[in-house]
Amino acid sequence: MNPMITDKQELEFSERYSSGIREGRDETESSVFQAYAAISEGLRTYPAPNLDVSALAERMAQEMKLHPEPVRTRRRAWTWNPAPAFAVVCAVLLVFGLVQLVPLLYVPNPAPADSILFTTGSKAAEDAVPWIWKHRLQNGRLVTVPSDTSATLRLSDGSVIFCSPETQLSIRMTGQRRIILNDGSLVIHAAHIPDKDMIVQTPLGDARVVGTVFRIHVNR
Amino acid sequence: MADSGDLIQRMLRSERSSFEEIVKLYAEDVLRQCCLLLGDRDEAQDVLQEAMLRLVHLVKAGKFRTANGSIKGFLMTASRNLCLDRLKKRVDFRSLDEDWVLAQAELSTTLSPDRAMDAARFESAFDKALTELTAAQRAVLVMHELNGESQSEIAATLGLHVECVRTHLYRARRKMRLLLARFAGEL
Repeated sequence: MNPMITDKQELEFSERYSSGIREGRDETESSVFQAYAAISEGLRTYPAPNLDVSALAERMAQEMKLHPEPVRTRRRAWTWNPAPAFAVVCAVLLVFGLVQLVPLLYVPNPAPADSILFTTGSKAAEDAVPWIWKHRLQNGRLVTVPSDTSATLRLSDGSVIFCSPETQLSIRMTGQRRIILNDGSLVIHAAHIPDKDMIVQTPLGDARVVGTVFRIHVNR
Repeated sequence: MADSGDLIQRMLRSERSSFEEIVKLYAEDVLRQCCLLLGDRDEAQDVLQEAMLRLVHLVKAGKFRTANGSIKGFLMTASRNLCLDRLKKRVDFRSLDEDWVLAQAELSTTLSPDRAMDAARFESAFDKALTELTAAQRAVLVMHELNGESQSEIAATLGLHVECVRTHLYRARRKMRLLLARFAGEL
């Protein structure tokens, strides 16, 4: 009868064998090591079941041929491309330009009290002219209508002044509505605003507007 | 030994001989490992085929790099992982509970199998002894003895503590040793 090997001994033998030791310290350990070696050999030579090589190879070949899978390429590294960059810059500039331009194009209606809209030509011509081309007249600025055209002034209070050719005038809308006519003639459609008279100042004297439409002429 | 790079190139050209060559060269070892791990020959063949097809998919996708290892290395690792995935679904590797005490009492006290046992008797006894191991013991024993993996590597693969692997290993050896001696005596 061989001696019984305890769990503790078996664990020690197993650990020593796992660490690469193949020579037992005594007959018992040598015999156990021999058994371990037989187990190891048995595992390495364990008979695998017969395999149908041809069938498996055929299955692999089918998988390779019948279900082609596109080769996944690596994601292309980022490279500098001037065209998209130029497009982005252009888009940014366009947006920036529009942002800057909108306040210039936008003409509030009615216009602020201290601004005067100035257009040239007849009423028909005025209508034909895009509003974007009309421009504001600075308060108090001298206006000289050329000899070959007339001008229409629309004041912020709703009054309209038709200027004959070669008329020279300026308009001040601060406080009183004062039109300073140096030369030429005007036809004024004055808007009625209580407590805010319209005064036409000429080299010969001032005229206070009472009615709604009147004509005034200065001939120097 | 066939060159892995050459085999891969031939696979890409869909040369039928390359697939046959791979099967002839590596299938036996892979199948042996699968049989030992799973204890089921039919299931082992399923895993072998799955591992082979994984190789094909990798080669097709251009992801198989021979510089990172041989075809055999890939097949052994892939099949081992497939086997362990299957085992983990039905076995708790952490469990050390088993009929160990009972088995110990029933076993003979024979120290080791008869050295003079002939190959046929040994093979039969070995097969029977192997079926007596728990799945965890079998896995640890195969991974350590057949694949040469260290106890810490096995522990990492199976998600176990090294002590647990050590216990599985020595119990597997003890059980195999005693069962081999017993079954050899009965045959």
